[in-house]
Amino acid sequence: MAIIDLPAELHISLPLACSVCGVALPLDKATAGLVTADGQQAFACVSHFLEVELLVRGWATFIAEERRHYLEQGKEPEDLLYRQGVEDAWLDC
Amino acid sequence: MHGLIVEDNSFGHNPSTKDLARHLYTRVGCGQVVIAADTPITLLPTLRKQWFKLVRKLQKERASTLNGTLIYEFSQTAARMQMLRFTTKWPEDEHPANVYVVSVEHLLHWAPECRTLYVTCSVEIEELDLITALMTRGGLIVLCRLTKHPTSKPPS
Repeated sequence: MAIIDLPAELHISLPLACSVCGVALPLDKATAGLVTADGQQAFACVSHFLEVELLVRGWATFIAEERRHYLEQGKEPEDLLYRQGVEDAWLDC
Repeated sequence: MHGLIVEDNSFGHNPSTKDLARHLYTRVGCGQVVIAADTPITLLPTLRKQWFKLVRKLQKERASTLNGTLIYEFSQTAARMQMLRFTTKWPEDEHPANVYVVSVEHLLHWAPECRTLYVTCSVEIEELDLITALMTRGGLIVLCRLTKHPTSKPPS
């Protein structure tokens, strides 16, 4: 199973398209991933979780494309992960 | 549910922290992530271990490509993944981090304002409604029950 609720207020048109391989996706085979440069939710096939090389390469390609869109719009992509002063991933229990 | 996308057990029949880490990889770029767990202190180290395995996969992919754009993206992403901060402390205002692994009781006390919520334990629908009340519209809830892998071999 996969997406069981996709609110109509988000105005996402069906069928969804996989951001990794480009195929049309029914909701029961889709997973929500990153967000596009325009703020739209992107989706991918659930099956890609089984192929880690394809998963990392597919989303890296997606990010590169979105970065290009950002730059074309004259904007610097906002990096949500980067935090000043954090030098390494760490465990805080 | 508050304009949120809901996914149910996207990882197949036996989801593990490896699957959770892979899903997390596709969501951390969207903002803060909260993982509701029965025993956060147990889940966090295993999740982090899987996270760093994924970082190594990314570095291997970077080493195996000649595409300059992809090399750049892999380098950036791997660096960001290594800087990701995990915590079991709550609330978020007092303990800045990227990924919070916390109990349902904590989340009921202080609802998260994250974009992604993983639910790895049993939660009543009324409780989930309360927990997700402050989540960003268009955010994602992933309902998944993780398989507990034995840490030691059974006696033969």
